[in-house]
Amino acid sequence: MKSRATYYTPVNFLPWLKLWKSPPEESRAVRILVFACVLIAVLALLREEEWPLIITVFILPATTIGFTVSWFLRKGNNWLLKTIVAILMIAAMFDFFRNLFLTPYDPRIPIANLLLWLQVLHSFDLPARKDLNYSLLVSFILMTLAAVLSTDPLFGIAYLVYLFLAVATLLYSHYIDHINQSHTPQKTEGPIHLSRKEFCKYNVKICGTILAASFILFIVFPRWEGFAIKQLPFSLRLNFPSQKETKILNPGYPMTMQKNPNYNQKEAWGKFNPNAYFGFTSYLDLNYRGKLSNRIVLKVKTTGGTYFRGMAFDKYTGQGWTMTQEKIEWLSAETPPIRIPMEDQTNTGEEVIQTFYVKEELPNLIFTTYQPTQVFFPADSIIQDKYFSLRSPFPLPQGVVYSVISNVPRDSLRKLRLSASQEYPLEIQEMYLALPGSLPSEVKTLALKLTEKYILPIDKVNSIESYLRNTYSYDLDIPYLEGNQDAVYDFLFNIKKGYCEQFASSMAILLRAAGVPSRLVTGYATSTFNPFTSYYEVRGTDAHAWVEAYFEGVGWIPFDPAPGFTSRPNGASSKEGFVMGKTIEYLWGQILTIFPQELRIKFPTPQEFAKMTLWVILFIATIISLRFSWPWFKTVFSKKQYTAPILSIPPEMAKNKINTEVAALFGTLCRSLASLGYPRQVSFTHYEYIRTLPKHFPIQEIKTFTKEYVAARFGYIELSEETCNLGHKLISDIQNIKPH
Amino acid sequence: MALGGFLLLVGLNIQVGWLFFIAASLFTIVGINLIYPAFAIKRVAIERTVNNIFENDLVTVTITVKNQWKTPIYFVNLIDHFPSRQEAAPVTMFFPYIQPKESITQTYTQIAARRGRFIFQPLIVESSAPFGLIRWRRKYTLPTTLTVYPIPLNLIRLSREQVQGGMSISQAFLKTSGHSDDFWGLREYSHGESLRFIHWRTSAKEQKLMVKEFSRTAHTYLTIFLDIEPKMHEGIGDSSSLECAIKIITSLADESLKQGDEVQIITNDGMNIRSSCRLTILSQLAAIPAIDRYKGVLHLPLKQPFTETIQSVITQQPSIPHCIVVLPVGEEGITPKMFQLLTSLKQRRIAVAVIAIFTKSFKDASALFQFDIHIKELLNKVSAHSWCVVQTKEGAHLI
Repeated sequence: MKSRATYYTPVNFLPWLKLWKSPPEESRAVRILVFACVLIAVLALLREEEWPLIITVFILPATTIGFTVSWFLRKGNNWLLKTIVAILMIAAMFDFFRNLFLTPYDPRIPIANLLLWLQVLHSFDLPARKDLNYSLLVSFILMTLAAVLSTDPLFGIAYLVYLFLAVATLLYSHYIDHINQSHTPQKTEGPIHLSRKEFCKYNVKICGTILAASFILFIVFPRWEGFAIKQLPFSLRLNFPSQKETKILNPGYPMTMQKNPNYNQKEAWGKFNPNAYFGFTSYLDLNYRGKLSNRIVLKVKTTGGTYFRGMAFDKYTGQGWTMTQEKIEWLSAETPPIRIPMEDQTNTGEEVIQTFYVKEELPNLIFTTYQPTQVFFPADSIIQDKYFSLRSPFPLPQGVVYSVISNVPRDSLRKLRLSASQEYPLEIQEMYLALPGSLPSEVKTLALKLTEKYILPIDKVNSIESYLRNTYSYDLDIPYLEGNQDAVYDFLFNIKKGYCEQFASSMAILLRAAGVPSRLVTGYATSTFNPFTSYYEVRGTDAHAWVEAYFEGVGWIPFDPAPGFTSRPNGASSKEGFVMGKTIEYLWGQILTIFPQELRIKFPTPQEFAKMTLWVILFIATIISLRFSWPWFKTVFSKKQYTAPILSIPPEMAKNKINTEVAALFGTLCRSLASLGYPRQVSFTHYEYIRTLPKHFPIQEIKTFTKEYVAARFGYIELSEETCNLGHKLISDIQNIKPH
Repeated sequence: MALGGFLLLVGLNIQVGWLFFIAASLFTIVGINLIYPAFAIKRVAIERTVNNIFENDLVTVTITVKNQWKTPIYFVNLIDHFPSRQEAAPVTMFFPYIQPKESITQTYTQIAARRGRFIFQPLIVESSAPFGLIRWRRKYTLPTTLTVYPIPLNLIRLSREQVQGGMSISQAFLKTSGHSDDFWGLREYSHGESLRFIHWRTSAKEQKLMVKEFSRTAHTYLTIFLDIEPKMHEGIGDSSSLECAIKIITSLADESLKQGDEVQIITNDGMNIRSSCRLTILSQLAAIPAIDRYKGVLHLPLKQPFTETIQSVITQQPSIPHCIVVLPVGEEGITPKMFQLLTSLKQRRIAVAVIAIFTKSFKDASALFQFDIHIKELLNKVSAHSWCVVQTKEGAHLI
């Protein structure tokens, strides 16, 4: 006879452990919905970053297997499985700390990595509802991580799908809880279960409401200053070529094409590259014509400032700008950040943190908001030229991310007005006051004419800037320069229209002619703010040129004379407040991209549309608030006092013909008295009302008539013809009284 | 909400627009769950109907919910506390959705465990739609009263002695007080009647129970006095002597009403009902407050002592020919005041029958019989008939 073996499990030893065990979740629908949520969250996250192969290949099938295993093992204790899962989770945790140590500047990826693994492991042990809820929560965290990593609006589609599924999960869970807890009715004349169609309708309604309300909340949330908790900006170390190039490299304009002052004009005309800005070369040729591509080249997250400086030029040749100073300085740091010496130590201002995501291959310029102090760049060392522009040792490839902390000098007018000295250092004078000998005298004359009334440099700058802004128009279709014609002269006196390079060059030259040191700067400006990703989307068309003027004791201050751009890029903090206008602007801009260019111009521009919409919203809000506050206004400001209503003929009086007539006469009497300015207050009785009447009325007769009326009204007495006659007489008497 | 706030702060700190949107979604989800159920539960109109039944029968409670809103209402729970039993869990009814202006009816059944007149507690309308994060409740006071009629008592006889030749108390009493036993005809058996009068041969022929009916002579109405003073009774709830008395009266009233007589029931809390309608009598008996303090049971203060009640009724209605006095008898036996009253009734030539319900406990059977003999001796002096009833664990017994 075989003896029966007794197997001891922890449950045998600790029966109370059973108390912790929740009942298994039997609803397949809930499991499928949670699984779908997890799937969407994982896909959204995998899309945002480049993940190791093991993650991209393994995560989704493993999660699917995990959910299936959980379904089949939902009723068991699964101690072995739980133990293995727990051990693997600890291993994932160790891996997380290792990754965190390796990339201390960006914890997002290690966290996402950890959560992905936890999600996979946890999916193998989801017996009860609470486990599924945890899974849903983890999927939500994965979605938020995807949101943090996302740089484009496509995340919105993933979020929409996720929201729909998550809402369906919550709704369905809640529904089956109700079904389980409620009493089964003996008899019913209505639905006791929610049909699939009705459930879908409900889900769509809820999702629609959530989306609409979320959008409203989203646009009214104030976007106060970010980075309140100081965190190191993100910088991903990528594998880059180890080349050490000191010159400016523009992939769109190779070295062979970059012209020296003795360029071949005809050769240059045919070589305009719409995918690269010609201002990011060592020689800025003012004779390039063409339209730049609208593709996004950079995405920038910044706490303020929308002008991203690339490089500066000091020498005007008549047909372009060049750099006279070839001297560079290598800056390096063993661990990020690389500290940048400031050009103007005295001119400190507001700290602005920017993170740049390169979306198209760019020149080896490190775009920053002027002036940078710390750079987190995926290279050991970077270059700083004499114009305090930063360069990378290699052209910036697509995908590189770098961060910059800048100290932006805020140029208050008061501060600039204090800078009255025009005794500039010799180096400044030599570099930034020099004019080409070939410059026509009309240019100098114009500069002097514009500034003759002013002594202070800032006044001169303002005068020239406003002259250019108000006199010349912005146009990309301008003719080529002929021969060795001076570009600035041609713009100022012949064509009288141009684009930013013409405006900036003219201002710089006019400033120099007026004795104010200046230089031409190129970079990106006034990009589109995407309120959903919070990134400035910098497009090829946003490449821009502007001017920096030097003020003794203050330093270099940017000015922009081009119409349609802000005249003082550093004038005020550009930190985001409310984004309602920008959201509308962005959405309208996206809608416009559906239409071809020819149709697009027939619609209002995003700025115009946003302005119009804001006015409409303001109008509607005013109408709604007036509608709701109207009763209040009416009671507060209405001069008319609230008077007692003229009584209609009471039914008990209407039975008798004479009584009916008396009631009508009494009503007419009251109206007549009210028209003379003596309305009956609602709190007054009939007799109190008579006492308020002035003496020039026939008080005694009114009193007698009122007494009769009251007797009939409340005492049900039948009145005589005499009362009627008295009423008629009184009314005719009162109507003859003129108002006092 | 906290998660939304956290995301908003993170979004502000690292300036991620999508986090603002996700935080806004979370706030909206909480907001919807905060606002929607609050409005939904205010936009329903509720009706509750209930049928009156006898003790231990199933009560059917019908609840109709109407959506007065212009939009559908989802996930509404109705919680109803059935008043009959204190310990019973409330009944929860779930309405998954109600279309605009639509009415939905659901019914549930419960056993009415005891007689009484019960007032339903306010109905609770509850909603935590759509996600169950925040629960809103609203009480709807619906004036619904449930009357559970008492059922007649089948007394178990302790003694072998047949009462009045095998008839029940009521039949025996009615016979002595004017009813004749001359056979008048046959009719169909109705619930609560004694099996004694079943005419088996005819019943077998007709395939339904038929009972013998006797002709009547001079009788008008039957007056029953009941002492409901709680301190005079023993026990609480269903096992109290008051409940036993009420069941005996139900049996008497039933019997009398079957004969076509009116029944007058008088208690010392001011109740004085005279009717030939069975349901009127039963509902009045149901309304007599029980000894216990169960929820929903109506309690009325007693107006006067029992003897004074009888005295005043006899004074007002001197033509009462006969009456039954249902009297709780405790340790002290028949009180002198009561004995005096019964004597005066006898002197007035009013035929009085006394049903004494023993409320004291007895050590053994001999003590019970001794007490019974003592009481009967007393009662025989003053009443035409007297019966003693004692309650044991098995039920009420006629001695």
